[in-house]
Formats: sequence, structure tokens, C-alpha cells
Amino acid sequence: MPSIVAARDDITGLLDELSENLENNKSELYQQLMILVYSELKVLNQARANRYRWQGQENLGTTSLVHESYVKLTARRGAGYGNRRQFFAVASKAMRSILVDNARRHRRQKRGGGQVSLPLNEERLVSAERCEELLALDEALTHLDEREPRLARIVECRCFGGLTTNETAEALEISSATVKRRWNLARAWLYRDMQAEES
Amino acid sequence: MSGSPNLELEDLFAALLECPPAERDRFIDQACHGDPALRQEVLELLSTHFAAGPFFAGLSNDIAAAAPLELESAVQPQVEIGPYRTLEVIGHGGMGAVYLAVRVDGEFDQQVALKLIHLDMDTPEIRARFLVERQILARLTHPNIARLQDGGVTDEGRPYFVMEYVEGLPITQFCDEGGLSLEQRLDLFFAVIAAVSYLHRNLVVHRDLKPSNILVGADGQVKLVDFGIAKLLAEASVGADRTRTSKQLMSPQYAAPEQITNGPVTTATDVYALGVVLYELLAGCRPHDRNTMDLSAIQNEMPPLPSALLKLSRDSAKEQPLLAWRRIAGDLDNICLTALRPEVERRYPSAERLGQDLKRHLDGVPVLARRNTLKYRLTKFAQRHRRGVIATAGLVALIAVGFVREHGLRGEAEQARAAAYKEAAKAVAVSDFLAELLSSVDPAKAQGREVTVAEILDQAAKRLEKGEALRDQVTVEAAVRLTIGNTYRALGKFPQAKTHLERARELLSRGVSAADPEALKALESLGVWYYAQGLNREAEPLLFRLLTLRVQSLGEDHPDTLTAMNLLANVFWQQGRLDEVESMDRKTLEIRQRVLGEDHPDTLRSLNGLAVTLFSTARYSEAAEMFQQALAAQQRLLGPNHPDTLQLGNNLASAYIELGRYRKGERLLSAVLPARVLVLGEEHEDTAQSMHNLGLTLVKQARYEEAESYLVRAIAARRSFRGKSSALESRALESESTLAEVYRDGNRLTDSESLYLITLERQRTNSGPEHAGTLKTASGLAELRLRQGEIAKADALINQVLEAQSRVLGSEHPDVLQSMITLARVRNTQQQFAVAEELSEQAVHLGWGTLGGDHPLVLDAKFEQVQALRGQVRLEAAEELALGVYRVRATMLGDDHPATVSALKLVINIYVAMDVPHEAEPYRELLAGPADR
Repeated sequence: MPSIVAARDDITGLLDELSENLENNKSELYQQLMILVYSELKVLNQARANRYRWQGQENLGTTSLVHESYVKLTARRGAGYGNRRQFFAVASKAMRSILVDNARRHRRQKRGGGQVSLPLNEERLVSAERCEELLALDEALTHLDEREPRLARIVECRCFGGLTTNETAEALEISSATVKRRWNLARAWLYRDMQAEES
Repeated sequence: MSGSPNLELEDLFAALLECPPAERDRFIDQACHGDPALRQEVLELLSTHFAAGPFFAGLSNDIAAAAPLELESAVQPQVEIGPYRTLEVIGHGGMGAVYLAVRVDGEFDQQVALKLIHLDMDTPEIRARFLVERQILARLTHPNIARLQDGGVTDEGRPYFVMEYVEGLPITQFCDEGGLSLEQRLDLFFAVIAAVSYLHRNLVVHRDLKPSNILVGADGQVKLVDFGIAKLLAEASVGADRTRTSKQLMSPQYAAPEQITNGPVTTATDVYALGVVLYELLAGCRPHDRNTMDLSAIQNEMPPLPSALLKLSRDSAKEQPLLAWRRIAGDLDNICLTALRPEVERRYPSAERLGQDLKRHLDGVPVLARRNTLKYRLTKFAQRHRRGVIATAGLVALIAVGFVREHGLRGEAEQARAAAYKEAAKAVAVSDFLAELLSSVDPAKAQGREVTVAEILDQAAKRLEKGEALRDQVTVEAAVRLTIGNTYRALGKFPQAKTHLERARELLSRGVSAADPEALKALESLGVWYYAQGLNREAEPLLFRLLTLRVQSLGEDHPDTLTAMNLLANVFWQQGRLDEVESMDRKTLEIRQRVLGEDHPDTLRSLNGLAVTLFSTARYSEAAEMFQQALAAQQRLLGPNHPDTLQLGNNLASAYIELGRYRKGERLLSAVLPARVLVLGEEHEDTAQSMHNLGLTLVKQARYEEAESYLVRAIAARRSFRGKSSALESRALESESTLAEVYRDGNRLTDSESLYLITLERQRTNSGPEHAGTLKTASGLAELRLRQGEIAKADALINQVLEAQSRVLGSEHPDVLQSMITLARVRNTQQQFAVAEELSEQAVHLGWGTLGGDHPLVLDAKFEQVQALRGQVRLEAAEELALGVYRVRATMLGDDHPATVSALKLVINIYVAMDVPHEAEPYRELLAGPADR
């Protein structure tokens, strides 16, 4: 994976460039950053899992992973305030992918009768029984993204990135009050959608 | 839908949520006028909003909140949280990061530990509840816990706690790095137990005990951190999904099975975690490796013995384990595994009990965790009294040698000896006759016939002193003295009794083997003499020796062995060592049922004994069943007026009283009391007992005048006994205390106050300030203060009492329940309804488990809960509960009982507050009913 190694040196540049056209998340730039963050998060999660298992602590979560990955990815050059904000929005999205992929694999494995055993720590990222809920949420969130992307961004930050209201506001460059307002509406909307799917 | 209506929806929805619930309909009508689709959507979203909050809180907490946050501070080194500024991250727990922090205003430059929790607290109710709980925890102070100093909610809705900053290592690390010995480890663990017991006494369950929450400072001081926070958060997130929160709050390595399965969390949950920590301290690793095993397995599998692991690592590894497995094997293994039992009811119920058992181990007293075999008890006794036992064994050997020598040297004397034996046998027969005659003074045999033997007894004693009749017949004299001594004892003439008993023992210790049946009888009688005087510490070693010798010479099943066991059980009972008593009682009952049959008087006596033990551990319905069974058989075998039958009748009535079946108890006692007066006399303690009990059933039925007359009689009887002792006086004071209660409930507040004050003073002097009876009186006085409107006095007193009671009696005792109810009533009066609700809910919960849902005390607790709900204007919840209280009270206590009437009034009051007067109407009629009839 040489491309990732090379890119790792240059994440602040990527972030700087990205901050100029944030809205265009289909861009190649965005995808590149996404892959990078995704891989870094996975590596960190693995290392973290080993470390904490050794210390007897099992409660792994994502919030600090996001922060930790940021520190790692920007360590070489130091990052400015602006691109730090962008990063959290991107990382939240990346975290969503990781968790959803993880849940899908878990479901596959369950249906396939467990021929392949997954690495323990990946399994632990989210409890097994959460997987179905997570997949349903992902589906509903995709619907929401099609209709009202601004609400979907908030959900990614709050729910998957583990960001606080204020952090979300910073990352998306909107006011905290707006975050609260949209978060309320998004939750109700998603919940309704998931209920409708279920019935 | 295009973008712009959605923008409208966003604002509309936000405005709708701001809107007071009552005005929401009108608001929607206005805002969506002419747009039925929008209206429909808004309504749908509103209906899902309330469910969506908790769902997402749970989900995002699961996903995000459990992370250690060490790196957050690398990004944001200094954050302001409330009035605090964080300095650095010093740790991370399951719920968030712990920071070293100082106050921003610099008022105190003391450093504190600040724990920021990742949990959203969306609603004002949840926040309010959280703050109240925090207040309760902040009052707790103990040298081994880090005090909760402050706490609040950040602007983002995240709760934080501020605790005393403790510099230290997790207890396991401290022990391993310092290479601590077994004793040092246990010392530290005792400090942990002290801290957890303190929490349990204050009705706080830690829920998250683990080495990283148990820190040891450089000075060796143990400090518990994070106590109660888990509970607090679980309570705070009550609106959210409880299951999810609780799951997230526990540390899987230390969580008890019931936490994993979301069962009820109790003090035993902490015991389990303590068990894991103890296991780790002993074995050097945790009992289950939960990384590799299915969590459900811990519900079924017991971990290996700690000593087995140590032995294994000694045998396999090159390194020497820190602790020697031999020292762990046995008691410590058992204690550890008892704490780790998957079934809650087989675990130690609280930290206190675990501590007691560990202490027993250190003191060399038998441990409860062990199967209580007789052999085990005796080994243990021998270890504790090693020197004494060795010395005695030496003495036995010396005597034996002496006999052999005498035997060898004087063959001639043998014939003379045989003759002496014959004579002795005759004399024994004589003394048996005398014993029989004299024993008829024993009330159990006199059965109401006029007692005239007292003079004969005194004469016989005089003759013995002169040395007539029995000169040179040592064994006969001893037997006669035993009989006389025992009879004096039965008459309550203790000093006279002791003279004869000690003389008998002295006579028998000359030239007879220690296991000689007569010598053992003397030992038994002396043990009983001490026991009858309440001198249990003196009685215990005598009776233990008796039991040991009888097991050796007669075997476990012999009736005399069982007598010894029972006597020892009685001593333990007096000392409050009820678990030991219960196991001994069960053993005796089992043997007697097997050897003597179901209907033998001794079997029935055992049944009564076991039932009394169950009664004393608050297992009343089980006890009542056994009393009833024994009573039916005794009536058949011994007749209705035999003291044993009457005792059983009295005991069954006591069980009825505790079960709240007052009328049933009254009926039974109305038959028992006259019979006891006839058989035992007015002034016998057993008679007084039944008078007291009858008074108790009457006060509970609000029949105050009748209650008064019986209690006055009981007091008079208890004060008139020959041979005053503090035990007898304490019973008289108990009756006085109940009389004060009668005055209080009968609204004679001045009489009640003066009697309460006198009684309390006397009880403090006679029985000590922390005696159960003293505390009960103080609790009753607090209730009186409340009725006198002296709220501050009531508040101070009841808190003090409750603290002492839960320490002395354990949290499940009915007296504790009563005090909790009084405290809840105080809080209601002070309009601290949330606290009152919490307290009364706890009381209901506790009482439900031990006494059953329809017990009067549980109803009293529920009544306070209703008041608390009423005070918080949660009328619908109050209504349902109040109706329940009214219905059960009406059934149990009758329509006219004041408690029923006040429940009825409360129901009406609630309906009035709900503004539905027509609902109240039928209840008003009920209220008017008694007056009409």
C-alpha cells in the first residue's frame, strides 16, 4: 500500500485543498482522504484493541479513535484550525463506513454459520446485537441523505463521530442552535423511517 | 418534497418542541393551516420524537461514549468545564475521561479529579434528578472513599463529577509492585470492604468496583473512587434506555452475572466484584478470562480455586509465586468462591458479611463459606485454642497414666473398687429419684400445680453442706448437687445454683476421665448456667468442649451430643451468629427426624428452634409454617397447656404479627395468655412475653386502650422477677417503648414524649446506645417528633438512627425499613419530594423482598411514595398507587383502621387535585360510611 504511506505525509495538504470545496464530496480528493482516514482508523482500532485488552479494559469506542487518528495523520506537519474542523466531518463519515462494514460482515458470518471467525477486536467495536440496528440506521440515513443532506451530516458527526453539539457545529460551520434543531428533527425522521421499514 | 418546505419543517418542528404540551395542538392547527400533508408529517415526527431520543442516546453512547479520551486533551489541553479548568488527563473510565482540574475562579487552588461523562442529558427532568442524586452522594464521607465534591451538567448536556483527587495505584498493581504479603493484601482488602460496607449502609451500590477504582496511595491508604456514579447515571438516564445504559456502565471483567443479564442490581452485585478483586489479589489473575469466553458462561461455571492456580504456577513456572498456595487453600478459596457465586442468593448478601467471614478466617473462627461439618468446626476450635487443647490433652494423658500405675500396683484394691461401684450404682438410683422429685419444681413439669418444693430444696442443700447422708460417695453427691443446682437455676436463683454446680464439677474432676458422662453433665449444667445469665462468652468454651467430648465419646447422632449442639447454638443465637445457628439447627433437626421420628418431643423442639432462627432472620412465612406444624403435633402429644405447646402458640402469634396478620395473632394470643398465667403464673417471663405480644397486636389494630393495659401488665411482670438482670430489664424496656408507641399513635403526645425520653435514657444505660431495642425506641421518638411538628429534631434523629441501624442490623431488617419510612415522611414534610420518593421506593423494594407486598410496613412505605408523587404533581402515578394502598389496608386492617382512613383521604385528595370530583364521590361515601352505621 505505498499510496497510503505517501499520502500520509501529506494529509494536511489534502485537508487544506478539501476545505475549499467541502460541498463536493464526490470529488477524487474527498475519496482519497476518506480512504486514508478509514485505513488509519482501522489500524488504530486494532492497536488500541490489543493494548487495552492487555490492560483488561474492553470498552473501546470511536470518539477518541477519531481524535487519535487526527493527531497521527497530522503529526508530521501540524494542522491548522480550519482543516482540523474538516477532518472531523470526514472522519465521522469514515467511522460510519467502518461500523457499517463491520456490522454487515457480522451479519454475513452469522448467516453463514460461522465458518470464518472474525478478529475479536473488530467484533467488539459495537456489540453484536447493535449490528441490525446499525444497518437499519445506515439505510435510513441513506434515504435522509438523498432528501436532506444537511441533516445527514449532523447525524454522522453526532452519532458516528461521537462529536458534541459544539464540535459538530464547528466541523460543519453552523451554529450550535442549528445543530440541536436539526439533530432533533433528524432523529425523529430516522426513527420514523426505521419504524416504517420494520412494519 | 423540495428543499424549502423542509426548511420550514425544521423551524416548525423546533418551535413545536419549544411549545408547552398543552398548546401543541393549537400550534399545529395554526402552523399547518391548509397543508394537510405537512400537518400529517409534523404529527408523525412529534410522535416518534420521544422514542427517538433514548434510542439515539443509547446507540451513540454505545458507539462513541465508551472510549478512553486520553488523546482528546492532546488536541485540547485546557478546557473549561463549569467553574473548573482541566490541566491534564489522568485516566479514563468506561464512561469518559478523568482530568486533573482546578477551579477557574482560583478560590481554592486545590487540585481535583474531574470526570466528564459522555452521556446526553436532554431533558430538564433528567437533569433535576441527576442533581438531586448527586446531592445525596455528596453527603457521604468515609476515610476510604474519595469524596464527591461537586458535579453538574455542561452546556452540551454532559454531566461531570468533581472528586477528591487521589494519587495512587490500582490495588492489584500496588500489591504486586510492592510484593505485599498475604496479610498485607488482606489488610488493604479490609479497608476496601469497610468503604463498600459504608456505601451499602447508606443504600448506595457502587456497581463498578474494579482495581482501577480502588486506589492505594503511597501512604498505604485505600481510596475508593467513582462510587455511586454508575447508579446515579443509571437513574439519570431513566428516561433513556435503562438496559443499554447499564450495559455500558459496567466493566465486563468485573460485572456480576445479573449485570450481564440485566437482572436487579443489589449489594450482592458489589460483593461479586469484590470477589473478583479478592481473587486477583490472591491468585494474581482474574477468575474468568472474559476475552476468550462467552459471557453467559460465567452464569454457570465456577472459576478454579485460587490456590489451585497458585499451585499450578508454582509447579509449572520457574518463578516463585508471590503467595504460598497452602495458605490460600481452604477458607480463602471458599470465601472467594462464595463471593463469586453466580446465583445471587448463594453469595454473601453484602460487603459486611464478606468482611465478617474474612475476619473469622483471620481470627481462626469457623467460616460460613465452608460446609459446616462438625469435624471442621472442631478442627477450627482446636486451632484457635491450640494451647488450651494441648494442655487438656496432656492432662488426660497424665490421668490415664496414673490409673494404669494404680491399677498395676494394687491388684488387691480391685475388689473393693467393684463393691464401691455397686454401691455407687445404688446411690445413683437414689439421686435419680431425688432428681425427679426436685425437678417437678421445674415449671415445665409442674404444669400449674401448686409449687411447694422450694423448701425441700433448701433443706436438701443444707443437709449436703453438713455432709450428712452422702459422705464419701463423691459421685452421688455430685449428682445430687447437679440436680439441686439445675433446679435452683430453673427457679431463677442463680447464686445458689452456681454454688452447687461448681461443687459438683469439682467433685467430678477428681479421678474421673474427662469424657465421663457425669462429668459432662456437670460441664453442661455450668454452661447452661452461664447461658441462662446471658454470659455467653463464658458459656461458649464450656459448651464447645462439651460438644467436642460428646462427639468423640458418643458419636454425632447421640441425643446428648445433640443437646450439646443445641446449647451451643443457643449461645451463638444470643451472640447474633444466626447463620451458624441455622446450619446447626438444620443438622439437629435432620438427625432427630431420622433417629427419633417426626413426632418425638425433641424433634418438635428442634423444629421450633429452627423456626425461631428463621424468624430472627426475618423469614417469617417459612417460620410460621414450621411453628404451625410443631404446634399441631405438640397439642396432640403434650396437651394444650404444656409450656412447650404454649411457647409454640406464642411463637406462631409472633410470626403472624411480623407478617402483619394482626387479628390472627390476637386470636391465638387470647388463648395462650390465660393458659400461661395459669401454668406459669402472672410474673413469669414467658407470660410477660405473651402480654407484650398481645399489646403489640392491639396497637397495630389501633385499639390503644386495650393495648395499654396489656403492656402495663407486661412491664409490671418483667420488673417483678426474682434475680434482676440486664437481659430482663431490656425486655421490660422493650415493653415500655411499645407503650410509648401506643401513646403516640393514640395521640397522647405528651405522655408519649416523656415515656420515650425515659425509656431511651434507660436503654442507653442498660443495653448500650447501639442495641437494636435502643435504636428502635429512638426511631419511634423521631416519628413522635415529626407528629409534634419538630421537623428539624426528627430529621437529625432519624438520620442518626438509620445510620446505626443499617450498620448494626443490616439493610434488610424491618426496623431499618420502619426508619426509612419515617425519614421519607420527614422529607415529604419538608417538601423534598424527589428524595422522599427515592427513599420510599427503596423501602418498598426492600420490604417487598423480605416481608411481601401486602405487609403493613410495605404499605406504609407506599403511602409515603404516594405523598411524594402527589407533591411532585405526578397525579396519575399517585392515583394508581394510592388505590392499591387503600384496598390492601382495607382488607388487612379493616375499614375503620386509621391507616385505612388516611389512605382513603389521600385517594380523595388526589382526585380533587386531578380535578375529577366525580371520581372521588364513591370514596367520599366510604369515608362517611362508618359514621352512618
